[in-house]
Amino acid sequence: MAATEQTIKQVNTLGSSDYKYGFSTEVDEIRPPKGLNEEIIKFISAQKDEPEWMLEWRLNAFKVFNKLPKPQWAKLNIPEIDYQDCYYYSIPKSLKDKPKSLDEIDPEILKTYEKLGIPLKEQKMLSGIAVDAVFDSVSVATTYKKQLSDLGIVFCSISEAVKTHPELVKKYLGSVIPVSDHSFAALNSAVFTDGSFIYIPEGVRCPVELSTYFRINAMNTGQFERTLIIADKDSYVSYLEGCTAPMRDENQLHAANVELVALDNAEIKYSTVQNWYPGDKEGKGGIYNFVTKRGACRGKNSKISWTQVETGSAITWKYPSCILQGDNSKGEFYSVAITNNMQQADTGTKMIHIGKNTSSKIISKGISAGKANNTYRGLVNILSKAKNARNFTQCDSLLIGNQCGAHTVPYIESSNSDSMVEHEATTSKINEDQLFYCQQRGLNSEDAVGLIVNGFCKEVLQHLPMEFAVEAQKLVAISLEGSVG
Amino acid sequence: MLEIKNLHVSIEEKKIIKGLDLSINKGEVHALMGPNGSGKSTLSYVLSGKDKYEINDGTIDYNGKNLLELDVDERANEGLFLAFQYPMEIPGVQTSFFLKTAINSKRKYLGQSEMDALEFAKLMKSKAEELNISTEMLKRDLNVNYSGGEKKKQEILQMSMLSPKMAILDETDSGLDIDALRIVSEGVNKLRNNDNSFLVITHYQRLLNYIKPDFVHIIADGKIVKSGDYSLALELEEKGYEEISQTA
Amino acid sequence: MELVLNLDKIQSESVSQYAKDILDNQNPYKNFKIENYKYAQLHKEVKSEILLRDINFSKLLDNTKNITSYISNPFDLTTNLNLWNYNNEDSFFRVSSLVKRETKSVNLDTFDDRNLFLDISQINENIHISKSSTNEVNLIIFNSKSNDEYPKSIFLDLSNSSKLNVVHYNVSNNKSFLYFETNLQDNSYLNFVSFQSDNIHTRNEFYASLNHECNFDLYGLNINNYGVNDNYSFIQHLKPSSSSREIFKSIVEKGAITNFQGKIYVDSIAQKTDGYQMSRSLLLDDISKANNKPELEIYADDVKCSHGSTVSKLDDEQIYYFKSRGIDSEIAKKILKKAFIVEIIESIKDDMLKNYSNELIESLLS
Ligand SMILES: Nc1ncnc2c1ncn2[C@@H]1O[C@H](COP(=O)(O)OP(=O)(O)OP(=O)(O)O)[C@@H](O)[C@H]1O
Ligand SMILES: [Mg+2]
Repeated sequence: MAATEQTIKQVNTLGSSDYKYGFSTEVDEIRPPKGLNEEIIKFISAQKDEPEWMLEWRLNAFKVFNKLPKPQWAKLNIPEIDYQDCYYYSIPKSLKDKPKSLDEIDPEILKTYEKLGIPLKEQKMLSGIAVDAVFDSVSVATTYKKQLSDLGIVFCSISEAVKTHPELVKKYLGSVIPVSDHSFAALNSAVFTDGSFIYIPEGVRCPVELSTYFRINAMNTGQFERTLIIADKDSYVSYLEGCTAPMRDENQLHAANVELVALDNAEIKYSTVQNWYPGDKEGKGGIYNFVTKRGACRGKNSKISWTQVETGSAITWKYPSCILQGDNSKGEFYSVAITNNMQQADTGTKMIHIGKNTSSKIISKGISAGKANNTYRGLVNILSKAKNARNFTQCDSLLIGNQCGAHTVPYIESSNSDSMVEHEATTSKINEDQLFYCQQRGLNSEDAVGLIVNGFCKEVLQHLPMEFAVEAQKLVAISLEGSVG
Repeated sequence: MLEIKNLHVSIEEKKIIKGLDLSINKGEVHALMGPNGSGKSTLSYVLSGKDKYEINDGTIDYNGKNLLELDVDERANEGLFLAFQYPMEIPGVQTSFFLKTAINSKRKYLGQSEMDALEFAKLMKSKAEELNISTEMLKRDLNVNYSGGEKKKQEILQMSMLSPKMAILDETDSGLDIDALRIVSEGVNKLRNNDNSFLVITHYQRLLNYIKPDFVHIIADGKIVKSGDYSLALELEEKGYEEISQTA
Repeated sequence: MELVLNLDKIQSESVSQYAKDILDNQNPYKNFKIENYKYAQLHKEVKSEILLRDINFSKLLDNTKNITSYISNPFDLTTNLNLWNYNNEDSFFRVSSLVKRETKSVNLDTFDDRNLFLDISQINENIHISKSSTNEVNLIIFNSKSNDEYPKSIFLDLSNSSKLNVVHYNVSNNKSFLYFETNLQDNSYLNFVSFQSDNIHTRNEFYASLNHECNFDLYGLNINNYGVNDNYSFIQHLKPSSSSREIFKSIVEKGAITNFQGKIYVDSIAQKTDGYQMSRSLLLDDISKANNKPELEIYADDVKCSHGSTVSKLDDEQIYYFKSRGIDSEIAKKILKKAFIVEIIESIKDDMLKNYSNELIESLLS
């Protein structure tokens, strides 16, 4: 017990000042006034030179949004959000006329990404990873564009895709997450600003990891990311996203919609390392991360795999899901969610088995420290035609200290007798014996906790692409600083 | 007793047995040896009638009947017994209850009345004693938390109680300690007579010291590549599969 | 703040809509969770063409003391309930039980017998049961051939170090609702085994509050039901070092719907809690449905809590093993079904009751 107490103390001496991405960048921004109304939506659409149909779509979504109540199911304490007290669009002035080359980009912005470890300049580009960098509401730059387009791969910002590939956008946008799904989905559909668009043509295995780096910089600004990934027949793509934001006292809203579509034999691997600013120790500030992520395995033998490491945000509300429509399709969800101090997370997945021989696997690791609450919420639904469907779910929660909460709320619904659903969950505290063992071998208690927690999460972390896995491990340890109990 | 001709078997479109011939007469003991993955267990499953295996070609005659037309339990009741390489654990079912149900199923199939409880208890007790299995063990759930060797002994107990005509032992020796190996072999030898036959699958010549086979077959890649008498097992022990298969 | 709740009203409406209405009318019971009724279909019409069989329970009566007629003393439940520490959730059933209903009580200490029999089929008042002596007693709660509109409600008070085993037979009912709430004081022990079979439409709610070092085992078995069978449990560990173990097994077929929702709640001071929950369903055809929602809500760190849940069919490999020993598949399936539920029967402490239950199950399986 002594070891833990010591750790708690040690950790408490560290403040949230340790959020190392908490700096902000001084750039001039173009912003319409605060508030949410049709005028703002028209403004956003006009800024982006969008075609008429896109504006119509947005306005319709806004109508739907006005009718929908806020989703209620999560075990979260969400303060009333004043949608009128928020900016919905913000771009650095220097990006207004999209720069043609990196030389034209504001050096301050380039520096920001370099500080974040994401160099955009050719000579320094991360090898093996093509990056789309999103700064507030706009995509800054996309690397490796040429190499990808030679393969027929489209990797650009969604705003660009609306213009260059309207037929694909029209066909798939909103086809996985209907506008009317819930109010956050509708809000995003109305005011989404930027995000990535990816199309992998038939038979192509994307040779590099595709990646987007989201950065919220401006004050009082919501970020409404919209990402659409389509993997055509027999194709493969691995996509990563990372997120950070400056430390600010007021809460900021990030409401993203991500849609994935996998056709016959296609595979999409989607990895997230979410490290938005979590707020300070007293729970002041931080990002509200309300994310709807959903993938449709439309084709036979298709596969969608979600891996997420959620360490940031004041509130995380997120359920990356798979609709397993095609016969033999597979869905996977690997998740680490860490909440510390006053953070709240309600996250999990939905696996909807529709086709025959569909299978899904859910591995969720929740770690709760400080005064945080961490909930796993997940649905496994086997419809009556889903012959021979399989699901395996393992949810483990770790509690550090006795002021936090860990909750597990699975929903298991089966209507097919040839299927098999297995769910297991455990909740425990950090193993004192392991802690003692590590300390006996000379690790200080903080490193020991980091090590043990990383071991606890290993099953998930190993599903991240190499480059990310190392970062994620460090992040796991850092997130628990000042919270380990 | 058993006549396998030109057998071709595949599972999930993968060909495992590729033209196998084997003929076993009454009263004979055949040993089947072969490298890992050569199809030995597959053959034993096919003989017992497990589904999911696709018979692409060939015939199997069992005492004048087309074996492939019989259901798994019919085959068993016709006297075909398979001692599994990996015996199944069945939680919630007491071993003794399982044995009793099996015996009575066979009696019912043969048009006999159920065995009375006392007679059954006696039979089970004496057979278990022969195999050095404690009666405590028989009260436990079938194979649940049994050690590897205990499971194998349990298979042989079932065999001796059901007194089959054609018994297939799939690596019954692996996992047994030296004493258990001897006891199990004795059990098999005791059962051996002019009316029944055995197909003994094993990797080790040691077992064949106890259960002397009349014939030894070597299977590789789904076919029997060499047959001979007991001396083939000795030769195999010396040279290994690689060399033997080449000289075949 | 008088609330009139009536299950008739929800015959035609969905529960959640009704629950919402109550909420809108400023329900004094805070934190009323609609989630608790996620799968409930209280308004479901009962199919009348199914003939429910008569369960022979004379053997039970022969060996036990029938205490049904001793339930008599009026009891002021509402004032006493404040002691019960229900700090966070309230049930719809609880509310409807408490409103405008008399409560009668019985003290188990007044009987010398070891086996007590209580037939609640005809009782419409709330029942308050108390026990404070340390001797171990078996209580049979029997409910059959009922067609309830209101929940049967049983409030059980176990005082310090008291021990009680309950076997609950809820069989052959057209429609039956049970609200069971217990307060286990320090060091007390309750073993509760509930049989649900041959019913058309049932819902059972089990609520338990656990104090210092007490122990609660809850086992449920659910077979041969025709319509909707709901089981809801909420076990809250309020003080340190208590343990709970809950196992629910269901065999679902012939168009039945089985729902299980169960929560283990651990208060932040309830360190050293040991909580275990397992819900398993065998789903035997595609016109039936099995829904499970096991939950953990935990605020203390030095605890050991786990739950598991499965929905599956009978194991083909096991059936094959039986057949390879000459046992035909119908018999194999029957044995495997029995094997699936035998754990519940085994959990009954008393041998006479264990045998009776075993016979009952055998007759239901054939
Ligand atoms: N369900 C299956 N799907 C695909 N391949 C299978 C399946 N079952 C068996 N096999 C393959 O069939 C081959 C033969 O397997 P089998 O178990 O018959 O080998 P064996 O000769 O008994 O080996 P061992 O000596 O290790 O017991 C192996 O390559 C195995 O991997
Ligand atoms: Mg084998």
